[in-house]
Amino acid sequence: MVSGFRIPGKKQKKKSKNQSSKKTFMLSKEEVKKIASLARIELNDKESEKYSTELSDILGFVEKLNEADTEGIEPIAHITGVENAIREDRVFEASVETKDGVINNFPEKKERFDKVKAVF
Amino acid sequence: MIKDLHNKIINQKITSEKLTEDYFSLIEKKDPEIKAYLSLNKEFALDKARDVDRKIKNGEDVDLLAGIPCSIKDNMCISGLPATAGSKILEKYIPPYDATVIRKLKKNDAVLLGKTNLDEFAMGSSTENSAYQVTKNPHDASRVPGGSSGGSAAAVAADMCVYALGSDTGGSIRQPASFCGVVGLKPTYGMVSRYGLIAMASSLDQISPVAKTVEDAAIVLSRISGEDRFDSTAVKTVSKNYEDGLGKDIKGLRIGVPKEYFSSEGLDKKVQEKIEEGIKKFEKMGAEIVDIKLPSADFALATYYIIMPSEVSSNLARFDGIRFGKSVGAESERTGKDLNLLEIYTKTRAKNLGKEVKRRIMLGTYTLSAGYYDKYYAKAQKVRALIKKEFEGAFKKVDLILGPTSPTAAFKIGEKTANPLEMYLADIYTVTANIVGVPAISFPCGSVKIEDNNLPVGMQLMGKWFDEETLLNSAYAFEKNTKI
Repeated sequence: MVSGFRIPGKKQKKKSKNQSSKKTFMLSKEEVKKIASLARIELNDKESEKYSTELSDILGFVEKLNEADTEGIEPIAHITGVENAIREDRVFEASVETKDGVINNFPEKKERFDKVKAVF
Repeated sequence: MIKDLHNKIINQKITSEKLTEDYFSLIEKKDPEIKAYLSLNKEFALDKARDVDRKIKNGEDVDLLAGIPCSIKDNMCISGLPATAGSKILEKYIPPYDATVIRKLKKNDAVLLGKTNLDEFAMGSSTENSAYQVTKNPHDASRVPGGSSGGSAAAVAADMCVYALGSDTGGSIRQPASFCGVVGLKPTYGMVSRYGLIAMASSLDQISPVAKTVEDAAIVLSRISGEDRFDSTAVKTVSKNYEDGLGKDIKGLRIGVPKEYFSSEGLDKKVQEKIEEGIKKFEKMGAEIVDIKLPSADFALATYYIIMPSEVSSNLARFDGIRFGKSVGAESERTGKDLNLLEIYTKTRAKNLGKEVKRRIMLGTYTLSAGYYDKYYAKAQKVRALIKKEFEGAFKKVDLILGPTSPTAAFKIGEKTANPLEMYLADIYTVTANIVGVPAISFPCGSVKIEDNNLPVGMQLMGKWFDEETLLNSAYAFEKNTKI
């Protein structure tokens, strides 16, 4: 039924023209700003506008998944089939060098503590 | 190549120290143009080389990899050396531990020359997304080496290391191997521990060797694979020396060729011709070519571009300027600007993450967000199951699936940077192996002439889950048969 392995190039563009009335998956600038704030990324106005176009393009492309018939198919999160891989509940002590290495990577520290701004 | 060098070293025709120095000289000569390396560890490497020479003088047995110089993609941790992942946010990060693959290489006395360039956090298909430098294709410096393991493939192709370790999430080893004319092997998901690999998309990532020959890739795989208590997805497999399984006759081998792979409009005609010639070669060697159908393969790229960014958005949440990496918090302290916690998160990420990384984080945040989860992420997981089922069916009929690695030869630097979606299409043939988890290999099958330069073309074979043996043996047979 699927005629070929379609790479959306020029033809896809034509198709998206036909779909241009269907703006349901377009991400507005405001929506982009909302997503960016959820993702903890500061964006200015210009960036939001650019991402609005780019992300909408990508979302338009992945819309094709709607054509896949997944009736009765169970979703999978990974492929190994491994379930509940557990390990022995035991502490493995790290070396002093490793501990120092972790502490040295703190952007800001006080003695051997990671210094963080107050949450409230 | 590794075996030859190994014999020279153990027969004391050359010392590992001399070999290592020779490679550093080649790097000094070539890398100012190619820009494959982000950092070098000369002292560290030469110390190891001298150590191997000492062992050999004392008559000790050493491994095949002992004293052989290699490079490591800069998203893998080597204790005490920088690991930038190609990102500004990890510019000053020094990991205090070794990745499992590094621990294994060190145990076998491998000589680690340095860390190679990549697209930021391995997100890209050209290595142009690196925050540090643009790596050039050794076959034509105006073209990309592919990505994201562009530094690895370019370093191997330009003789700046014997072999390299890279990582493959959607083709990041195979596509650059194809563009640079070398061998790239993505093992079955679960073959190699991901501990110490800076995570991009955890259900797809796999550490993979890049090498000059199939045999070299096999030698490296044998030494980096196996279960690991630090990675619950690394499964227990029968440990094998894959290099010993090479050279078997491939008569009667059934190779499936999906029609869908050759009817696409994006596939370059010259590349297609090379692949078709390759199919004929396999036929001449006695393999049976079987037409197969993989109708859902059409959905692979769309599935990938939902699952991957979803996992990215979650994995990259850790880069928040609090525990490690660059932070605007430290600057605000100096300048006296008082930022609150939220501002430290948002400004640190805004300033130190690149455009493509932000794009994927936001895309993933959206596809996982309330109200859109079912439409995107859950749907993609179902399609993933569907594609896997189709592959299970196909592998009942055939031993291997063949196709091009990439729809084109290496493209020009800057050619696809303006349009992210167009860049994504470079992964169209490679993502499927990651989605279903099967092993896949790209190896050279000829070259095409573009603008007076001969550019390499790679052929891809995909194998059954954990059947690296058949996969490697078949690629090896092809390689032996086409050597002039």
